[in-house]
Amino acid sequence: MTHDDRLPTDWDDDRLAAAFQARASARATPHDLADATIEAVRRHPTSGRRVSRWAVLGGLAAALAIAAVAVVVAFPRGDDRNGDRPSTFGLPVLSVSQAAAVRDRGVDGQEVAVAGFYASGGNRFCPNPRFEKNPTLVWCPDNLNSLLDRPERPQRTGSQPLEATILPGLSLVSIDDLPTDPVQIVPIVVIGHFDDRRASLCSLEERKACADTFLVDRIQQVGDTILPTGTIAERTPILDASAVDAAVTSVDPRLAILSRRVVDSDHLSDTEPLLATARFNRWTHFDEPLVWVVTAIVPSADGSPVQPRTFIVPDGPSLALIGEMAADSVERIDLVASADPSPTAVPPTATPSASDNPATTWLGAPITVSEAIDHRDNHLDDTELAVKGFAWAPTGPIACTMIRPASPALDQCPDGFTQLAERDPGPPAGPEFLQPDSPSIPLLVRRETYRQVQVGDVPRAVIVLGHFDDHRSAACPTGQVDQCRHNFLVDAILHPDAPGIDRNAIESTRPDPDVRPVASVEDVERAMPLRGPRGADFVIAAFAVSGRAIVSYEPRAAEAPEMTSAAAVWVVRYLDFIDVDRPVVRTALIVDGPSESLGRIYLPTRDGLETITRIID
Amino acid sequence: MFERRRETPIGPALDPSLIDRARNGDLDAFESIVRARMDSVYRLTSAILGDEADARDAAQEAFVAAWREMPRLREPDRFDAWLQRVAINASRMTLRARGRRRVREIPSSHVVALAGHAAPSDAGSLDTALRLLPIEQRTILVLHHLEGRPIAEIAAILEIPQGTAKSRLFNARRALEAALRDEDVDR
Repeated sequence: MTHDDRLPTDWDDDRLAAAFQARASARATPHDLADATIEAVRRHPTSGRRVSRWAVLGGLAAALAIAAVAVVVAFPRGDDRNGDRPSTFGLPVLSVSQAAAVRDRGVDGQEVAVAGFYASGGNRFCPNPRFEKNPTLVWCPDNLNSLLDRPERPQRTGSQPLEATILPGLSLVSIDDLPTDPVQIVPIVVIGHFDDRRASLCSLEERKACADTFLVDRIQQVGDTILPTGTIAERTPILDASAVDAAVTSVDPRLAILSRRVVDSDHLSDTEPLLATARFNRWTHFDEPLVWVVTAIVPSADGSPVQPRTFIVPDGPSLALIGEMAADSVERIDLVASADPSPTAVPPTATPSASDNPATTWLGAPITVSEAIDHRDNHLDDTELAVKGFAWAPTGPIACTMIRPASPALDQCPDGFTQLAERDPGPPAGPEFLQPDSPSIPLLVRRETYRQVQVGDVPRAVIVLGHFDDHRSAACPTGQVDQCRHNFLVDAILHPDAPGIDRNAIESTRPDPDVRPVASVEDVERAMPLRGPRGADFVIAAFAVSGRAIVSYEPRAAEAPEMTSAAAVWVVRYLDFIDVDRPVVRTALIVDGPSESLGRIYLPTRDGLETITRIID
Repeated sequence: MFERRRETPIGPALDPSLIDRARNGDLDAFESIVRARMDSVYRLTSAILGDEADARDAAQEAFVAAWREMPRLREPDRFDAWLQRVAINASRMTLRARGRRRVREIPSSHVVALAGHAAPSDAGSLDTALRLLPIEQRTILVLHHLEGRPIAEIAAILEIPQGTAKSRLFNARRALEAALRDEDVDR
């Protein structure tokens, strides 16, 4: 079978629609499916805001309040080595007022336990729905929930409560045991923290509010019921909790598990937004459909501040690796089997090793230079490739006789001097430029190319992300288009053992230092047509250049005077995973301006300049 | 530019109070929704997945997920689009859960042989061709050509910009035509 584009097709819209209808009509809904589904729904344990037992208990809850707090103190869990103060998991149990003081005294993010009263805001009508996913961004109607010192709603002056209240962020925990009726105020002990790392991913305007959210990592007690360290699961996982706990505690045996969740990996970025928008979405590209998210702390033995830690564990039988979330990165922790069936964490090594067995990239295991050459010569297209090899480049000045403006896809002196070879040719023996002694390809490295590692005149092992057949080849001079299509445009040069793209490096890439854009990389990322998790696109470069210079980066920009006349234009390159078998790097161009003005996005292609406009509700 | 999304209902209009009640945990109300929307959800999962057992699992999973997520439904007046999004996600998850072992290509010659050398119908050719496409392309084709959704609604359901939806539909259509051409050639 061949896909010859020259063959005609008579599948017009009408015929296609009729075929779809006929295909669908041949598949009637199974007669028992509705009943079976309803039965499945009835069995489902987490139905959200169902009528809870608190509706039955009614006003008894408030009456039991003081006694319940006493129970909290009487039944601390976890390590309780904190002297006379009530504690749980080694954390001091604070009142709401005390916790509010922690919140207001500055950024620290330490884990605390809070005993108080929970009041639901109820199900209110929310006129302005929000779709951003960030557990610290608590929006209507959840922002009407509160933690209180006393079992009664505080008096207010205008919208300001006269007493201390805390806004709880409850998206990481099950709320099945909490009442939904606003009149039911229940005693509660929660463990959590302010100043969560994810607050930095909120917009500038909302960052303070996000930081002030008390992100609950565990609901310890509701009324007189001490809740166990259960697992909230969207679906049944393969691993059991003990195996996951063992994997986590192999990182640090002192870790105490606060909570576990099992989520579809597609949903992971709902609570870890870093994974949806940034370069770390390899952590949502698991073979396993489910992921465990485990929150843990190392209990304090002396009352010193404790920081919560979040671990990601793919739900597969091999348990080969876990990740630990940080504010702007994910640390990969490899696990090795030991005589004990529990996995053991391998400390990350700082010393680079040879590239015989390089790490997997977002594009899968890297291919060899020979395979890349085969792709170029026999399957030429713009699929983004990860190629392993040994790279080197001249470090001194190169005398080029003529440099002329041309397409960025055209190789010009000194482009041919940066090489990627299959084998290490060894260090240069003299002043002459080192020649490869194995299959090699020249690398077109541009100013904006991301460099996790620097390439010098001594060959070093690298993984190079890049592609042939760049869409800008079409702008090469007549007669050189085919040559351009066969050039390898480099998007990133990565470490062979720990390939990654550092957020700070993206933000500090400024090929045109004189350009001072108004928008931030974050603003631009938010405006981008990036898709959600799983198959998600992510940014590998974002930088602003002057409108006068934009054509040298993206020739199609010449078709839009709005760009060529602008003070600054953002160039964003992102990996598009729409076809999981053929990821490609795409470019988006956005005229710089305040974040709310970044509505028009230009997408240059081989054939033209597509324009899209953001839809804003 | 500001644009308000509108949506086409996927079945007889639902009583808004049913949705409100279901959001508040009323299982009887949700059962009514399941019965009212099962045909359309199964039709969607079946069209995307092709396999009856997978479609059944995905439809069921979609409603369970919808029940779980109902309290977080922000726009009850866009319930149908939301439910379709949930069903699409459930289809993806079902396919992933099955793994590649169940994804197989059936040579057209086999299809013809199995059909007793009768000329395959358009529906049969389409079915075979769709199996060759990734699920993202199948989904957007189903939304457009089966469900009759315009670009704006597809963009809203898939939560992508309209321009992206348009280009993805274009690419999907091109891939489908290539696959159908192969079918024609093999006939």
